[in-house]
Amino acid sequence: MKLTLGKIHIQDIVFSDETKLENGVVHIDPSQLERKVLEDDKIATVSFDVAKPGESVRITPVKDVIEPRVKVEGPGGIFPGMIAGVDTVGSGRTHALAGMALVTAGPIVGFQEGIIDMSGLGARYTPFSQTINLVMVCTPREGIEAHEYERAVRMAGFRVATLLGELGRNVEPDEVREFETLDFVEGLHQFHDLPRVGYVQMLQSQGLLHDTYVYGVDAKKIMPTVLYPTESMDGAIVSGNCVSACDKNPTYIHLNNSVIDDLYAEHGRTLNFVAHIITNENVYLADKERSSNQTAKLCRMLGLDGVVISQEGFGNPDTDLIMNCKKIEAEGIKTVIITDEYAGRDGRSQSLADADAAADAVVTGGNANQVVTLPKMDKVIGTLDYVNKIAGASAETLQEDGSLVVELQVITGATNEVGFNTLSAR
Amino acid sequence: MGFFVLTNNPMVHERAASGIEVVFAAGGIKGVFECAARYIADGHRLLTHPLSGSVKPGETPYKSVLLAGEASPAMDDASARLISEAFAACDKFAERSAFWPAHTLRDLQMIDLSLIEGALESARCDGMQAQ
Repeated sequence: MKLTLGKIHIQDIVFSDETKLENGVVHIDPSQLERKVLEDDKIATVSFDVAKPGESVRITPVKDVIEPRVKVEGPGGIFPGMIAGVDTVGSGRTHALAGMALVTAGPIVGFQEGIIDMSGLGARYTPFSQTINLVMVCTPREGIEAHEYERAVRMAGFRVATLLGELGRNVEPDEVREFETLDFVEGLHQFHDLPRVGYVQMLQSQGLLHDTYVYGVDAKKIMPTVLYPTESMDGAIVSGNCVSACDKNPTYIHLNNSVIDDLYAEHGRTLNFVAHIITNENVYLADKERSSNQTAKLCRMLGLDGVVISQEGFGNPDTDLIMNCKKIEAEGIKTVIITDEYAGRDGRSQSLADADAAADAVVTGGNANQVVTLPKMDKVIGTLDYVNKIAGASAETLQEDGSLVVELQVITGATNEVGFNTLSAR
Repeated sequence: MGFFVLTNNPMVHERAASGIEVVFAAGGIKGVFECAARYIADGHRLLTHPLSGSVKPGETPYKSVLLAGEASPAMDDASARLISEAFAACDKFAERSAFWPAHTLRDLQMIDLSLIEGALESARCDGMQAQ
């Protein structure tokens, strides 16, 4: 399967009386986007704002971050099973509006989602301080249950992102890359002298507001399965996860998965990137056993020599992570696990809730309990009403001078476990 | 083989009427874990992960866990390890839930309920019966 991904470098977003893309500038007619959002009567109001890198702007509470894309050639459409039909995606040609993001924000549940600062210390911890962000702040119709409203905002985000992605359909991209994964037999012949490497991606799937969808299917209902790595570039995996801002994968990160990107960079040179295996992170212990058994089985069936495993979340998923690692290693396949740490504010506590000697190659996204002080921003998009309630904040978070004393947990993407973050020991 | 829910979540407790046996545990999350540890010591196996959900201990006062109804003669080591690790994890998070307003507490109850409902569905698929 081969996908040509064309990136259109977005230079600016401006409000206008017409929605269009011209010379790298996205023009937005807010009333057109508003109509698209309010197609769902569970959403009472929506407003749009733009936040640019370096501005004194804080966006909170952030729900999802989405990169607009459009399928130009080949089967299916972006966000299959959610917006497009369920054709298998990942081949043909796709255009992305690179350098911008659609950020969905606004109150959903009593404890709220993350923070994106566009400048200051906080900007250094979130990858989304570097994108030009079109922020969509929604409010719910009165009396709507939180989980119904979450779905409404999630789907509205995909509808607007799809509308924006369409603007790039007939635009010549600034940058074009090709990604190709051969089928099992062809790959075996062509790269017979290279180690066969797979990517096991664990998807958050514990329950209400902790969900991920694959071709529209709730990931907690799936058995582990194999994707071509290009499928996620067309939105085959999307986020419905509203908790744990620092280490959840917003849809933007599913579309731009760093592990997939890095493995493709070495594909055909130092390794043969064979497959993207997805599995879940359920609450029921027998589900964990079943999924990790099947994941290890798939790794063996594919004749893998090595596997990179990425986690999403903390605590309960630590057990899935270690089960996957142990069982894949028991098949004689080397593993590297990517996680983050909850090592306490002083960094001295046990980092994970589970461990095993087989997990001897670990990459960390950082300590989510690390405390930082974020300076006051001149402008807030969304509301600070919930800032004391976000995971990693406290009743004392909002200081008199407007600064925030918080753990890294509050910052969207700060300790991301597919490596789409800025923390590094380099 | 049967199961029961151990919880301090009133919204889960109300579900006793729908045929699920629910044991109410007093206290916060640590109280639930202490009670679960006693059941595990008596030979009941843990059926769900005690750190379910990404709402951390300290951020929510509610926790529900599923336990096997039948006690085995020997304690299940894996269950004992999980509950012990979960108990230790609680100390990494500051207790903040005492400050929450009623509507936030309701949201937290609903999320805990949904997590355990997902597990109950899996348990039924496994052919397990409520106590």
